[in-house]
Amino acid sequence: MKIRFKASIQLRKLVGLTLLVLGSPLYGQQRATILSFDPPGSPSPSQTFPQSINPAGVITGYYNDVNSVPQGFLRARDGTFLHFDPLGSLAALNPQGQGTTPLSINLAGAITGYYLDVNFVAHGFLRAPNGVFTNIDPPGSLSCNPIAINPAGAITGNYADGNTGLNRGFLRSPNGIVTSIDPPGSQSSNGTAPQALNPAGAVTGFFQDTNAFFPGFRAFLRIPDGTITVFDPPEDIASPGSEYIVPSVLTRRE
Amino acid sequence: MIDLPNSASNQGTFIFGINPKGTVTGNYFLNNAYHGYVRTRNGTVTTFDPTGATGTSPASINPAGAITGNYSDANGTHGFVRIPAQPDE
Repeated sequence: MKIRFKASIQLRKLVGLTLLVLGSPLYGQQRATILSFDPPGSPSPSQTFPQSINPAGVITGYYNDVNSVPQGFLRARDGTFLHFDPLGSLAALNPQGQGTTPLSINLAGAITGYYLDVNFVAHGFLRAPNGVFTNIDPPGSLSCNPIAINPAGAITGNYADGNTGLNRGFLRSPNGIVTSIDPPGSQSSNGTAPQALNPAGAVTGFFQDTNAFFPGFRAFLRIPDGTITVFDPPEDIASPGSEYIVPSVLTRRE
Repeated sequence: MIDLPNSASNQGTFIFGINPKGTVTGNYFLNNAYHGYVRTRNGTVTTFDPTGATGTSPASINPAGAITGNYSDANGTHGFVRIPAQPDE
């Protein structure tokens, strides 16, 4: 009888301990948390579009205001919001389509994206962590669309070059030097569209290859020394460029 | 190749972000709606939708595995942030 009683206690302890351990977050029993948000001032129905989250959990993106004008926001990890619009976007003064579209934020909190001026011309911007804005307009740019910023502050994107009539890729170094990215065969009106860059400064994206028999889209990788490699998925080797390939992300290893 | 469970009947799988660990996020179309997913480097896939979502579109994932994006419901399109209970969840 005593033995049975002891065994029962042991079993209860074991079950209790198991439940305690499995119930601990260390063992994965907690589910991920999903928080919903709309920046203060969002109209109803809301239109909120977060675009990027940095390693500190800070989020940037935009929401469309009551006039459907995109407004930039920054959401801190504690859930507080900051609205921002580069000088010249006139989003608040002239609600006819102009606005701000942040697209990428790095660890330091530097943000890049684009805004439309009063003439609906797109300009790239860099918002430093202290809130200071710098325009990004490569020489000859008719419109500019930065798309990604890396931890060092290098920025990639594309722009319409008024001198050549081409859509070209660009890489802006942290000290502001802009280099165009033109993969071989990209000399067409559809041009080049970088999509991502990694901490080392390697850029990937896609372009329209006018040298291919079928002028389709092909992928490229530009490593920091400027060398550009064009690639296609294995299934596409027989007819390179005839299909669509659109790299959108790039990890540390290029 | 990444195809979500039930991919034979869905209409597409999309990737919108990858972090330095190789964890990928995106969405897939199934049963007339887009659903979010996160795939760890070892191939484990977890699907997710914010409560009440009629469509989910993750946009970005950070090194800790936190994901942001937007979802739609009857009241419009909202932002979301998904915070994992552990890094690779």
